Amino acid sequence: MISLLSHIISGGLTGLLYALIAMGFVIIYRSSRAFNLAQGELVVVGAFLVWSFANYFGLPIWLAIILSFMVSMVVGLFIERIIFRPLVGEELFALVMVTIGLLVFIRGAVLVIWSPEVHFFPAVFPMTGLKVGPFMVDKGLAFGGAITILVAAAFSWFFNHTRTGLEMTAVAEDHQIALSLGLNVKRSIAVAWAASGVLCTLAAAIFLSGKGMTFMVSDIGLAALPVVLLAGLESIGGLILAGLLIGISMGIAEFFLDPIFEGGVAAVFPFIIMIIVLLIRPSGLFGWKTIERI
Amino acid sequence: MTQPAGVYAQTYDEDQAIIRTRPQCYWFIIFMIFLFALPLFGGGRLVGILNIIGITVIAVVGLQINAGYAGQVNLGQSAFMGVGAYTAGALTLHLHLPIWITIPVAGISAAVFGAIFGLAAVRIKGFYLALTTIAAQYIFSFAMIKLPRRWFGQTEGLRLNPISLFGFEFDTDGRIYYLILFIAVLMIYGAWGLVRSKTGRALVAVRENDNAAGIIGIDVFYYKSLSFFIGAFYAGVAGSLWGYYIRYIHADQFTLWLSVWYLGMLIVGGMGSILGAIIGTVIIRLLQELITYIGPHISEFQILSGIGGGIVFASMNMLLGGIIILFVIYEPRGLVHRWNIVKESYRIWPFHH
Amino acid sequence: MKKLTFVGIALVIIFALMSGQGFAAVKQYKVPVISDFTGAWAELFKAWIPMHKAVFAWWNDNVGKGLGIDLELKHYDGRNEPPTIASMWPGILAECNPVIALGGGGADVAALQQRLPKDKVPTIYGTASYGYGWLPNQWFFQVRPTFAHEMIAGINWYIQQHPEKRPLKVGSLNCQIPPALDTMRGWEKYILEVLEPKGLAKIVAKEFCDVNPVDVSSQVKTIIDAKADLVLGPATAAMTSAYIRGCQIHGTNIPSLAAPHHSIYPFGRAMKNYAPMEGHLVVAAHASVVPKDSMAYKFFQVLEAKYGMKEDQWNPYNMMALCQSILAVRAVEHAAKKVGGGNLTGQAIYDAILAQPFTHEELMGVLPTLFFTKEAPFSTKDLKVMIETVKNGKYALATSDWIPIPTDVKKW
Repeated sequence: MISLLSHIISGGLTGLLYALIAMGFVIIYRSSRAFNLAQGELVVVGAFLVWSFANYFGLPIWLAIILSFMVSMVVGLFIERIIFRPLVGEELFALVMVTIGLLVFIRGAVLVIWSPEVHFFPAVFPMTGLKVGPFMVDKGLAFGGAITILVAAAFSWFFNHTRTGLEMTAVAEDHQIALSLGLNVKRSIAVAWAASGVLCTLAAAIFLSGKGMTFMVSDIGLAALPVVLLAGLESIGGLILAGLLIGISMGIAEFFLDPIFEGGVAAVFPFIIMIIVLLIRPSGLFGWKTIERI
Repeated sequence: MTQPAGVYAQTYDEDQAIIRTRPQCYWFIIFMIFLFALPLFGGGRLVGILNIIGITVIAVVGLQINAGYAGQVNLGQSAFMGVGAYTAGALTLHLHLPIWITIPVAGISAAVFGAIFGLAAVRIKGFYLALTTIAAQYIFSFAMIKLPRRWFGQTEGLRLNPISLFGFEFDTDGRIYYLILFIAVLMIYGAWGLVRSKTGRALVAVRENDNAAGIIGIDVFYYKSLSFFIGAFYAGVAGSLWGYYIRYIHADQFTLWLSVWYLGMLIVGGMGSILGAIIGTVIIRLLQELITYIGPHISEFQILSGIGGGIVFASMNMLLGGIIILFVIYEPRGLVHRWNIVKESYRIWPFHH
Repeated sequence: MKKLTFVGIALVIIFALMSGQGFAAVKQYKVPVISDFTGAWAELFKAWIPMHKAVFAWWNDNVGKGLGIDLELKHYDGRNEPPTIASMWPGILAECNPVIALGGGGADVAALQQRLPKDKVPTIYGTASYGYGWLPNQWFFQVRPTFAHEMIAGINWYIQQHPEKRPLKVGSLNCQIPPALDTMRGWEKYILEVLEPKGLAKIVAKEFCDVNPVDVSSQVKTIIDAKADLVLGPATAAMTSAYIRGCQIHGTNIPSLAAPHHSIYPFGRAMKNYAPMEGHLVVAAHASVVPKDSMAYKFFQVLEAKYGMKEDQWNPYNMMALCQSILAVRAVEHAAKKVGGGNLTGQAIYDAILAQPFTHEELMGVLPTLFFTKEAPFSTKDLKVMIETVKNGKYALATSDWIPIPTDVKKW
């Protein structure tokens, strides 16, 4: 019983981490309608930036993280300006394809700049366990989970209650109408990309704190996809719920099904849940429903 | 699209014809002869490249019908190929059925798997659908590793001996080239016919606006599932040929990245046109081969100067990614669009428009 | 007339000199290396390539010249993807006309296994084998038996070292990638069929996680609750660091047993500190990198002195490349001694590999004596491993002897 609950708790915390990465996806989609398949690679870039600042320049970890935030913001803006601005208004496939090209490009760039060796990511959180009743939880993940919830709440408030946020929401609904209302579409998209860059670095710091890392970390971007779809492509607050759902079900599946299937269930289970929920609610749990009237 | 001067259609059949003038017919026949004669003077490497291109073309043409004509984004084409490959492999290995049975059956089994996702397409649209098809990849890998070893080999995969048809053994690259060429021509011909028919028009209608299509009487549910069925059928046939060519089938060979590349070939070639699918496939594969070819030469040079081969190959990746990005930014409608413009300007030369 | 005679005599002398033994024409053979620069094994290949080059250069100078052979390495980026490798292979055949090739592991075995016998190119691999590669009549050759064989030897040794723990409670942490699952099946079958009936060992916990796990603390908790004495796995470097994290969280340190390039060394290199892995074990069927007086290390010093290797390149990663290249060059040597340096073919090398064992001395002390037969792609006789661990925060030998692998390991 305790083992099951322990799986559930660590699954839930993992789900919250996915939710943080998923937030990056959602923010970009909300403003530019582009689905950034290269999100995983941006996490890697964020991770290597923190590592470089901490190791090469020997800065204390909190300074390294803040500097990395700034640099990843610039990277996000750069990508938006060079690659996405010329593609405003193009069709869906083109946007998806360009993110794929971006993915290949960034992976190559990471290999060139930082080489494929395993590096040690500095510990952001203390590397001990947190005892909650009979359970031992990874402190880093626990803090990460708390941070994720705070960030999600902050962004949710931002998008729904501040002027800039509401402008971005309007842009997300329809670029043309937003333009005709005099809103600055370009600025909204730029802000979204910058924010996404920062979120990726934050996720990297939480995920990799105290662990070894290589460029293969980008796989986590794909693992976060079911969370995105489950929440619906436009909902930020919903990501927390979706993340917890996916994480907890992963934990339960791991506990019961892994011994039967000899592993591997945890990877495929989130997708199955995602499909089932999408069949019932095609826009995800909290996504905007496109009402098609005839 | 204008026709060469003096060519016009007087009957429905003429209007639907693919080849309309004598010169077109001659060029086509010469091209076909050229393709058949290639292995004789091409050399081993060329035949190997062409084999892979041939197999990929079949899968990508199927994807074009699914994604380009019917508008259903499909990122699981590689998984469907895998289903076809495993089916053909298992049938050949365990039941010793001849290939003229196994290849169609492989196609149909992949088509059924694909149609199941097609059913999801009725409810789920747009990006959601694209990402649901990604789930097909994960489910496929998971299933193939966990199904009984007697059927699909689990972690070992399936190993095949060279196949033969009526005593003609396909044991060299050159021989299997003919099989692949024959099937590819057959499938492309079928695709061309399909998109000119009532089904093709219905698919395009569904792509443009499925509500309006539903109103004018097209059965949207049926056609969406049909598009997945057909697309996956092509993938299954391609997969079975893949299995016979490599002679080792394993779930790890059919990755998400392969599906993504197929979609990329469609983008580069041009969505919504069979010719586009073919052009896109050829261009991207040749690009990849080029990089594979010159990579070692540059890395030799670099290793001598101490920089390290790793940087060279990684830079090749950067180059490939960069080329795709540039393509999408500057030619978003694909090469076929550019080709059509060239053809147009040639036809109405010396006028400008 | 005089000039012509003079030129004629000069030509005859030159011709005679050139056809003399000392001036035999050196035939160049290209050896393709199917590498991975941008895929999952990129890190390993970065370490391997300088080692390959050094060993081949050493052999060309010391042995190849005498036989009239020059071996040239050509690298190809297979990205660890079977489709890429399969499509590259015809090109490689055409370009290099290889008589021998070097490969990486899993992906190229998958892509090329069926083609090698027909293409007649024996291929040498530097990693341990997998159960699904344990087939007769193969044209690829592994320097080590399967990972499962090595683990079983490690388990046996550990059981003997700890007679107070009977039966030894064995736990495992695995992931679902085929190589890891395959290794697990191997040792699982051995424990269930051989060790458990004798009361020597028992499997008490079988845990699974992702290939790149976020957190394995629940799995570790289950292993602790089952009171395991030894944990088999982890199968990748990422799993190792997650496992150590899990142990730290729970405040325990159950020793693990794994292969050297998955455990201890990558962890120590990344963290710059071996201390968290105190007491953990790694096992492999090649010489250890710890002793500085072994034949293998002396050979490495030769490579360091003349062929560009550096001191920090003496590590478990490079050891794999050393094993692979030394076997490859010795195979070429055996074949050349039989058919002559200018007449090498893939078939000749294949026959030479099967005909004669490769002695421990020939292999510069890096591998035990290898006896290849048609039964399996790895040597099946006299198998031995070396076991390393972390003692007092330093990478050390667990025992300085070669530990034999039991002969009753059956195919699974």
